[in-house]
Amino acid sequence: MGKKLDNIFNECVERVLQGESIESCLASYPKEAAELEPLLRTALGFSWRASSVQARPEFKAQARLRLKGAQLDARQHRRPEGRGFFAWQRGWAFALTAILVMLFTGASTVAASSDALPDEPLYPVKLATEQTRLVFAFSDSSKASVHTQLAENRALEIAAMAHEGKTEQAAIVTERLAQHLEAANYAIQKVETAEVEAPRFTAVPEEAAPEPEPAAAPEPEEAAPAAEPEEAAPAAEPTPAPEPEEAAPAPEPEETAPAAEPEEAAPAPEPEETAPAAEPEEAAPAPAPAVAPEPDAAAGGKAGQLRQALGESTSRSLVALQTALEQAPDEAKPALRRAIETITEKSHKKPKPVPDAEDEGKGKGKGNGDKDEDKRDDQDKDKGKGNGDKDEDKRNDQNKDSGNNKGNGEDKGNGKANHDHEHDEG
Amino acid sequence: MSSEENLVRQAVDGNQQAFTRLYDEHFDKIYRYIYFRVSNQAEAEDLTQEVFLKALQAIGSYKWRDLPFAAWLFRIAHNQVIDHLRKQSKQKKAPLEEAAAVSVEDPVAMTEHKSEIEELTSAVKKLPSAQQEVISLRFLSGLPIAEVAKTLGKSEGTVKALQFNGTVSLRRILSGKGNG
Repeated sequence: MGKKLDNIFNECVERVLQGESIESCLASYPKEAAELEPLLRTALGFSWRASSVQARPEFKAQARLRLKGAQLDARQHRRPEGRGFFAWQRGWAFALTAILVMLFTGASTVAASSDALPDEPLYPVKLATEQTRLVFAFSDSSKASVHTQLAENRALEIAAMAHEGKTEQAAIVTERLAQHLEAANYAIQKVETAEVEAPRFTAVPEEAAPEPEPAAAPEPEEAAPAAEPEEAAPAAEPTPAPEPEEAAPAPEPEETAPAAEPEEAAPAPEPEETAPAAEPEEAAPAPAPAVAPEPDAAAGGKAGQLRQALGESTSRSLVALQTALEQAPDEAKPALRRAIETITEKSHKKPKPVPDAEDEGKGKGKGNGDKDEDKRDDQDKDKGKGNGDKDEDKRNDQNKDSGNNKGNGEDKGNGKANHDHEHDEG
Repeated sequence: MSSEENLVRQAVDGNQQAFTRLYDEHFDKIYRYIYFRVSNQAEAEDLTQEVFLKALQAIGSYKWRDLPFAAWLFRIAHNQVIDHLRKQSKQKKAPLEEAAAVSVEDPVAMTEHKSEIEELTSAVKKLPSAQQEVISLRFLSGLPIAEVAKTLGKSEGTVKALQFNGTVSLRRILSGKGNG
């Protein structure tokens, strides 16, 4: 049954993608039509719905800037004599980009935009300036700091928007806030990973080698059993500037030596990089909630400091939003509660009592608390405990190929092809 | 010579504008493919950037006759995703809450859309890995069967079978009849 239907299905998919209707294709295969139709609708519906997923415009702009920087860098590397002596030019190229941004927008405009709210004309300038800061945040720890600060800015904007009854704007800014918190958490996790892994391979603290050596060995994972396609070799090549955390890991000696505790490996703390966000003046009136002690902060590592800074920043944001909630018009309260929930969810914090929201918030609060607990558990698992289901799934997924195909009639022929699926060998 | 082939040849010769045009053309597809594989916006953004930086570094060694350009990019993306998932499973890190970057500005529509996308990503994640790859490359990125086969290093027959079985499973999952 399988093969023929595979081919017909594929032919119909092709025909529909070329502009033909599903019905007209089904008419060519009346016997199979009943079975084919739901499958075609599933596949094409999936394709259509998924096409709405797009990268954020801010990210696209940021990624494009990075690409330009990398292109400039690549051009300089191609000049034979300029390599060693003009290595500093990479930083210069980025600085030039920044100057151009300033020239385009005007320094005074940039300065004036710093307090702009989402409904004001200078707000896009503010966002663009922030994106430039992100572009220049090269290390994960600086990324975490910048995202932390930007999340706090977003919270203050939400409070201001809600105060003016502009709930739609507040909802949109809440999405941005969630993205910053997510990115900050992600960057901190990368710092944590680097801290845990680094001491296994080198006694030199992370900060001692901020830029990976040009001659550094290629990423072990990529050079390991299954290498990149040989002709393309995009990753197996000794790339000029791999991310520090990628250059660090090597084959994991997990069985022989337990993972070093982060605090043992912790490099000297760097106070300047963890500089937390500016103090929000508006946040003052409400009682400052106790900042939940962050598990890693005690360890004194970079990641711990960053997580603590994030915790303090989100506490300030929560205070600002809770104060706004008390004063906001009724129609704006749901937007503020949503923002508060978002912060508690995304920042791994236990929700704090929200005035005016207790009735409807109780159930949710508990749910969030559980979730947060789970998240923290999952993070703690780094240090050697069991696995979350999702991760189990992932691992299973990666191994599923062989197992699944064995049990799957149509896939039987794939055993070999799937054997090397993890990395194609070209 | 097709216009894309021409563009690629220029990029291979070091023409940075040509590379930027290819980047613009393929950026969203690569991002979408990665997003559906890792289900996390921040990770998808990070990986998408890395894919293009690696492509930039390796473009000089690209040969048109070996692999169509889109398939070459998707192969880099595929390898990035595999490495990422492997690292993630080593770290036993739970994925962060996802936030689908949907192209909708209206908050109500955005919420509805988000849950729809979450439903799709979670359905795709329930598929076996080989089916996930084929479904993502085929229906998210629109690669023809031949290019999917080259990207994944499988035969066209295998890819068709995976596409068919993946769609059957996807339908079952989306209609709530099973986990595939």
